[in-house]
Amino acid sequence: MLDAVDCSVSLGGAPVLSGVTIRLGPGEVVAVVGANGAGKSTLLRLLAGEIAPSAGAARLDGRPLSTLHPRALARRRAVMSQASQLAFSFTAAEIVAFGAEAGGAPRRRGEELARRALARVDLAGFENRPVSTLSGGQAQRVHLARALAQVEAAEGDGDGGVPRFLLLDEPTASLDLRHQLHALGVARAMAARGLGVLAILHDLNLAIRAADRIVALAGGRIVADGAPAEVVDDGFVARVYGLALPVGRAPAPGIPFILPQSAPPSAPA
Amino acid sequence: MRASALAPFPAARPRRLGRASILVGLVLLALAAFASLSLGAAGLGPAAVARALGTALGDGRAALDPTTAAIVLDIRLPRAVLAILVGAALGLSGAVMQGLFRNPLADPGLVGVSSGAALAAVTVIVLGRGAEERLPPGLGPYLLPVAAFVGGLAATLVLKRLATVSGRTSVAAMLLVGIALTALFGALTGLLVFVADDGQLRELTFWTMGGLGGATWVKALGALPLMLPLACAAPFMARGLNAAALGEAEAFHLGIDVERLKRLGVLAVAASVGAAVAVSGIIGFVGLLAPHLLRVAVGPDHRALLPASALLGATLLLLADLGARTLVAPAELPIGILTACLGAPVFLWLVLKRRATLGA
Repeated sequence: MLDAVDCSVSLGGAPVLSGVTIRLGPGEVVAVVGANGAGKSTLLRLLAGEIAPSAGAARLDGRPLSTLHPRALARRRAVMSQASQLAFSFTAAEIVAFGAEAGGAPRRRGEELARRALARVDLAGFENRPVSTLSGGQAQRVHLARALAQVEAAEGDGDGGVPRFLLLDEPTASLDLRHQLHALGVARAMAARGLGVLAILHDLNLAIRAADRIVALAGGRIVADGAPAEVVDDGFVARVYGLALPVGRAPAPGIPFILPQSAPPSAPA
Repeated sequence: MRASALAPFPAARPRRLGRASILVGLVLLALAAFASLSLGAAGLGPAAVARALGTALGDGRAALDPTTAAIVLDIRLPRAVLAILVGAALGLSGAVMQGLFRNPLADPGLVGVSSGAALAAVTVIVLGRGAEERLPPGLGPYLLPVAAFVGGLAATLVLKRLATVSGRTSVAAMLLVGIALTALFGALTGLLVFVADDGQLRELTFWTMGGLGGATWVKALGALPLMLPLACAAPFMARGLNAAALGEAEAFHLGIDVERLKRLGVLAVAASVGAAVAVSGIIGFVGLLAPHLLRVAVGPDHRALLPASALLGATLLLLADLGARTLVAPAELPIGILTACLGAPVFLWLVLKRRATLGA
């Protein structure tokens, strides 16, 4: 289990997260939502082991992340960050193979895993394209494939029972509608295989559809954590986004939905 | 969207290409080395040199005519070996530094590392008069390389410090700081050379333009130990440098201990460049040219790029040295003139290509 207990994080002297407790278990998809600057990416970096909390503890199976070697960490979790900038002209297959090798795959198997992962994100045939020649959305999917290849390589490691985690920072940003749904479908499929998936999402409706749990951040604190049908209501939208938006109920499956176009110009926070 | 129809880049860059580049690199290096041994003022042709090398290997030096032995074994061979060592060190240093700085413009000669090393070496020559004699026997040849290493390291740390703002190394800042450091270190070196009245101190052109004229076995062996750490570390750094191309956070996500990679890289590059500068002065652009040509030919994967850069750097320097001593024979051109003639246009082209993003 990947968790953070009562964690506070300051970046450059400014508090970004205060007293955050969150856990990510195997087989679940957790969507993190919140306004810009609410601390979503910082929470993800905390769980990735990239930044240490100033108070509290971020742990993997009870061990503080800071005590784990980066290589050991890379075999247990993969991260897709926002818009990474590539320094040299690597091809899509090369980038994805880095993920597979970080997950522990030997080179030849890494190439095979890379091909498969690219196909999973609908980029079959793009193996030898330099990433710099791809569109923003396509490059984004290459990085998603890299994270998939990393956890898949780790799965075939031998100790198959150990749960692995996938941390995705806005995996649907700059994707077209078809590929947004596709990416979340991939996340669900990975969870069905026993992975714990945490994804930062901006589209509440997508988050509601894709996630087992929604964790909402506001001002660096967690203001909601629970199943979408339980936590998403009018008060939730007001607390998280400071918007007075009515939450509707789709007639057939009974899932909440929000139509942003009916929003008043401003609302009390 | 079925992808295959939309992918107009069928040319694969498989692993084989990486291996092939290393084989081709080895062949080119061997050819260049033989050309370098066979051509020169003494008029000993390829056949005579091949015969001399064969005899020396088989029956020993005594079996050779003393003049031939002196020319081939004492003059041309150590010079070729030194060119190979220095060229390989510069090519590899360039490739590693570019990987660490995540930028193809980071060449040790351009950003002040080489001039820092040269300044330290000159300082030791001028101010540390007689220091070499006071060292325990056998350590003398290492004095200048170690001093140059310290100078190169200091320059790298200053560069990194000044060009990095909140964790990001800006390319523009790096180049500008590099210009300032190069100018400052160059001026101080010039000043020291100017006031020095020391037989040991060769003329300023050696330190600013480089040269392999004074090559001896002692020099080559003195430089070697400081060049080895980078050569030995390179295979272990390749995966980390690949991951670093995605960004430092991403490299960490991929299991790389980024801080360790940077520390190791900076130390090893400074040692390697320092050793090169101590024995051959400042030779620019080899570290820029070799990795750049190879990225175009075989791609940016450091697992192939690093060894190939060492091989191509060595080949380039052998050929540049060959040109330096034959083009205006019996005089000798400073070797840095030739490497700059080749490298500066490539540098300019790289800058123009990235002009739009350079401010970033």
